[in-house]
Order: sequence, then C-alpha cells, then structure tokens
Amino acid sequence: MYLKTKILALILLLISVWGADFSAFGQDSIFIQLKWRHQFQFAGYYAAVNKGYFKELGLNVYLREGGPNIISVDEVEKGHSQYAVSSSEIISDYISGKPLSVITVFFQHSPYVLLTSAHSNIKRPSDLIDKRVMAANEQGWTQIKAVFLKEGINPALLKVQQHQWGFKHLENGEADAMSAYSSFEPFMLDKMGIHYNIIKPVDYGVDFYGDLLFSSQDYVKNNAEEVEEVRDALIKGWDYAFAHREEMADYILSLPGVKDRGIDKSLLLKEAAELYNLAQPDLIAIGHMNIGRWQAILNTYKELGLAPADITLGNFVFTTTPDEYRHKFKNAFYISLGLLASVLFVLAYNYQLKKEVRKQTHKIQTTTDELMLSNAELEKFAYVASHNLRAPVINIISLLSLYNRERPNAEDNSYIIEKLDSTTKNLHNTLKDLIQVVSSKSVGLDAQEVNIEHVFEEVKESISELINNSETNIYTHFEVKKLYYSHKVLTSILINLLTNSIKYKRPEVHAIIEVSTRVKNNKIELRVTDNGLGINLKKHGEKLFGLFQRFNTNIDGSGIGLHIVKKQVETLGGEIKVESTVNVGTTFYIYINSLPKV
Amino acid sequence: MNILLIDDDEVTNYINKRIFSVVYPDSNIVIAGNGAEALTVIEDNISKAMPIFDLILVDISMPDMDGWEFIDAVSDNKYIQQHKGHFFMLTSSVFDDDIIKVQSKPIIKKFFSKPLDIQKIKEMVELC
Repeated sequence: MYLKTKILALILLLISVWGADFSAFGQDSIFIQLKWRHQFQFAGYYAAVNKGYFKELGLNVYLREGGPNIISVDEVEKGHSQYAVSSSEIISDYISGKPLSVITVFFQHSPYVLLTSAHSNIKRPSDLIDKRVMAANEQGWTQIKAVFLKEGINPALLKVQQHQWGFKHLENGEADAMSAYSSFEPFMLDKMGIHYNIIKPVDYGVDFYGDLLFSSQDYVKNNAEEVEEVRDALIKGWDYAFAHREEMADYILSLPGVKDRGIDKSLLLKEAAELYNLAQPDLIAIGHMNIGRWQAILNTYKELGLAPADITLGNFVFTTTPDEYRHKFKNAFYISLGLLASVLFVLAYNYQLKKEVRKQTHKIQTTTDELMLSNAELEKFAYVASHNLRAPVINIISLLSLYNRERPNAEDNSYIIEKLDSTTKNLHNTLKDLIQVVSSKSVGLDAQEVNIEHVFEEVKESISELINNSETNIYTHFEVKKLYYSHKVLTSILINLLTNSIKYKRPEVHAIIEVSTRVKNNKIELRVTDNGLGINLKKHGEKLFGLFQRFNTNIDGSGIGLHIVKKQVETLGGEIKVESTVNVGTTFYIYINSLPKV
Repeated sequence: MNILLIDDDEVTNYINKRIFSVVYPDSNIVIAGNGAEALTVIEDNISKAMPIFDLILVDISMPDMDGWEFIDAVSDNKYIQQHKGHFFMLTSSVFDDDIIKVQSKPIIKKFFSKPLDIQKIKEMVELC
C-alpha cells in the first residue's frame, strides 16, 4: 500500500511539472487541471480516478495539481489540459470573449469569502474602504467586487494588492484582508490560533456557483460523448467522496506536499463538511446546474457594469443537444429495433396499463387529499396547542416576576399565589385535553353490541351532581336500543352533549334536554335537544367543532368537548350536525352508520 | 395616559395592569374581556366625548369577537376619533401567519409577543 501511494505520488508529481502536451501519455490521455493544490476540494476527482469510474468507461484520466501560478483558463486555452476546474468567475472570461463552456457544477454555492484579522475590526465591506485587500483575478475577485458594487462602494477605493497566499501578511499587518475559501483557510487559521473576521458574499446578495468543470467550446462540441462520460464519472466520484470522507482524507494526506502545508486529517474532514454544505447534495443532485441560475449570475454582472448589456449565455452552458447525438448514430439502429419490439409489447399491455394507471391515479389523488386535510388539521392543532400551552406558561413566568420576595406578606402576594395555583391547574388540564385529542384518533377498536339505555344510565349517574344542581329535566325516547358501536365513543358523545346543554342553559329558564334515537335513511340518528342559550351559527358555525374554540366569555369551558365528539364520530364513519337558535335552544344530530353486526 | 387592555384572560389582565402601573403610575387602565366589550367601551367613550385611549393592546384568541375581528370592526369610520390612538397586538401567538397578517392591518402599529414587560411598553410609547 505504502509503495503504491509513493509511486502514484511520483506520477502525480511528474504530471504537475512535466506534461506540456498530451502525447507523452498516449493519444487518448485526458487531463483535468485542478484549481488549487491538493485538498478535499478535489476529493471527487481523486475518487473518480482511484475507484476506476473513468477506467470503466475506457477513459485515461490524469489530474494536474493547481497552484498560485497556474490559471485554469490558460491551461485549457494552451491545450495543456482538456478540462479544468474553476469557479463561476469563469463567466468573466466568457464575457471577455474566450469561447469556454461549463460542463457541470459541483458546489451550488461559492466558497469565496474575505478574511480580515480580528484586531483590525473590519467586519463589513464598508470597513474596507482605503484598506489593503489581497485578491487575485482567478480567485474570487469578481465576486468580491460585486459585493462592493452592490453595497454602493466603488471598488477603486480599495487598495488591491497581489495575493501572497499566506497568512503572515494578515498577521503582521502588511494586508488588511484576503480572499479565501470558506472551506479551507478559516480552519487553517483556527488551527494556527489566528483570530479573524469573515465577510461572506452571500450575506450581501451575491450568490454564485462554486467549483465547476469547464472546457473549450470546440472541445465540448467535438467530444460531446466523452464530455458526458467525464461528467458522469465525476458525479459518481463526488458521491463516493462525500460518503467516504475518512478514506479520502487519508488518501489526500498521502499526496505530495499536503502534509508539508500543515494539513492534517481533522482539517480535511472540516473542509469536507463545509464543502458538503456548499454542494448541498441533500437538496440538489451533485453535478446539477440550472441555466436560470447562470442567467442570474450573468445579470448580476450586467447590473454591475461588468458585462455588456447585449451578451447572452450562448454556448457557455453545456447541455446535451440533438447535434451531439450524431455520435450515437450507430446505436440508433439497434435502439430502433428494440423500440419496435417495445411498442408492440406496450400496445398489448396498453389497455391494461391505462386501466391500472387510472386506478392508481385515483388512489394517489385520494391519498393526497386525505394527507392535505390531515396536514391542515395538524397545523391547526400545532397552532392551538402551542397557543394554549404558551399562554399559561407566560402567565406563570410573569406572576413569578411580580411576586414580592422581600416582603412575603405583601398584599398582592396572596393573590399572585392563588393565580399561580389556578394557572398551573389550567396548564395541567390543557395538557390532559391535548392528550385526549391526540388519542381520540385511535377510537373504535372496542366496537361491540351496546344498549343505549344502559349507556345513558351510566352517563347520567356519572354527572348526576351536575344534573341535580342545575335542576335539569332529561327526557328520553329510544326507538333504536341496541347498536353495534364503540362503548367508549357513545359514552363520550353523551357526556359531552349533556354537559354542554347544562353548561349553556338559559339562567332564567328551567332546563330541559331530550335525548332520542330512531332510524333515518338507513342510519341511526341520535338526537340531543336543549332549550338553552343557543348559538349564532351564521357567525360561529364553522368554528363550532374547532379545537379550543369558545364562544361565551362568562362560562368556563376548555373548548375541546365538541371537537373530540366530532373526531370520534367521524373516525367511526358517522356524521354530526347541529341546528340552533339564539335564546331558543340547540339540537345536535349524530348519524351513526349501522355498523355491521357480527 | 389612557390605556385599553383587551384580553379574555383574567391573569394576563392583572399582570399587564400591574406592569403598566409601575411604568406609568398615573395611567388610567380599562380592561375589556373580548373585542365586543372593547367596542362598547370605545363607543361609550366617544359618545360621552371623553378622551380617547392612547394605547390599545389587543390579544388575538378571544371568545365572542377575537382580536382580528375587533381590528376590522374598529377600523370602521364610526370609530374615527379613536383612530388617533395607537393599536398594538399583544398575544401569545408566535406564528408567522399572525405576524404577517398584522402587515395587512394598517391600524396596528406593531405585533408583540407576550409576556408584556417594561422594555416592550417603552417601545410602544416610542412608536406613538
């Protein structure tokens, strides 16, 4: 293993010094010029080579290390490498007339940032006026210029100096700021114990692509098939590299010059994590680029006067165009044959398929509708639950802050304690109610033959105190006595509707409640009528069954009973309806689907 | 200073009244349990040509007439005299929807989340 890496390292070293033309490596050698020196920034490229992703496509790919004196665009222009890595700055070269083409983007966001030394107190772009900034044309300068222009600062007010690619200029005060990669230099500075401030272009509305692969338009046009293969192998390489960061870090450390730069494994892993953030593979497939985003970047250039108004993207962004398919012509015949067979096959199954698709579509639609509904319900639940939980907690905090600790016997303290007590109980009850609501979705498992007269007697017994104190008269008329239903739900319906009727009675009228059952339209109708306060359904109708909805200021209520009843009834395939007239009374109708008897 | 607190929670009203009387001991504080009660109080004030409320703090979730319904109702020209006062939402809601909704109600100066504290009162008065 050691020998192998040594040899590989030697080869890589040779490549980077030597190799002015491809012929030395054979006619079919492909070179990719990396943008910078070896680090995790190119892990996907190493993985594609080492894991044989190029080899399996018959491609001989060699990587060339970059550095401060190597400019990717020049390397491609001079023909030293067919492909090279750069950032979205490359669009400047395109604007200036170089026929380049971007093949694929690996980092969705640019890692370029400005670093300033912590003691300089430079924290935002405006602090940099008249200050010395180390930058390089190919290394983020345009993006940084864009930030200043967006902030209304003329970049000419900065003292730009050639990038010295080291930290000592910042440290010893020879420069005030330097362009850097958010994935590398900050971690390096951390390691060296140097404190710094960071200015990120994205915070100032400049969001460019990060690392990308490009080539010349001519090369792309003439080798479209190969370009696609190189791209696909690199995408696989990046997938592998992000999934095997430790392995890649170990490999990178074995490359020449890496350890000499003071790089260690933990630094590479931090770099990997930051690059992962910039690549966003969870959100956007690695290697994906969007022409709209390029258009936006070009527009930024135009807005800032960095590009003429009439320039378009042209062939700058590589896409698979029909023109390139002529390379695939020889395959076309076989594909046609295959297609013909498939068409026959498909025709035969078409009818069956259509039927199945229709069925599935309907199923998906129904499921989607159900999910939307239950999503909306959950949102509403989260809203009321958090509101109803937050309110008492806030009160408890406020009451505690008002409590007079110096004088425990202060007049208000006893009131505060009393309110703390009631608020805490209120919080406890809300929690209990919420638990009940959450668990109400699993009702109905206890369906059995129940006798409504018996259930009614049980309910009456359990709330006898309330009935007697309110002097309520209850009359019953059960045409249907036996039903196959959940005992728990039936009890819950009766308790909630009866206590509601009693709670909202008219104080001046003797309360009367009628409870009855009958068969109506093949369903069992359970009816509860009272002569109470009634409710304005035009105004409150929609909210009546809502969670924690209360309509009367003077009467205690948690606003949860009717919500639970509705939930339970509907879970069992039933329906609840209400009629009401203010100061006359209210009638609830519950329609129970005749559950199948066993 | 005339202050109208609109909230259905008795404890909240007690707390807010106490905090206000610490910052503005001479203030006159009136409490309404919901939007409808608040409208009655305001109407009464106008009909008796009494000084309007300088600060009106409105909760969102209340029975009978909630905070949004109250804001819509009080925006009517019928209560134009009171429009010189300063309306604030003070609620336990921390939901973006509510915060965004405030922007569509020009009469509301600002949205505050409970609890009320001295800092928030100062901010309200500065906005007046």
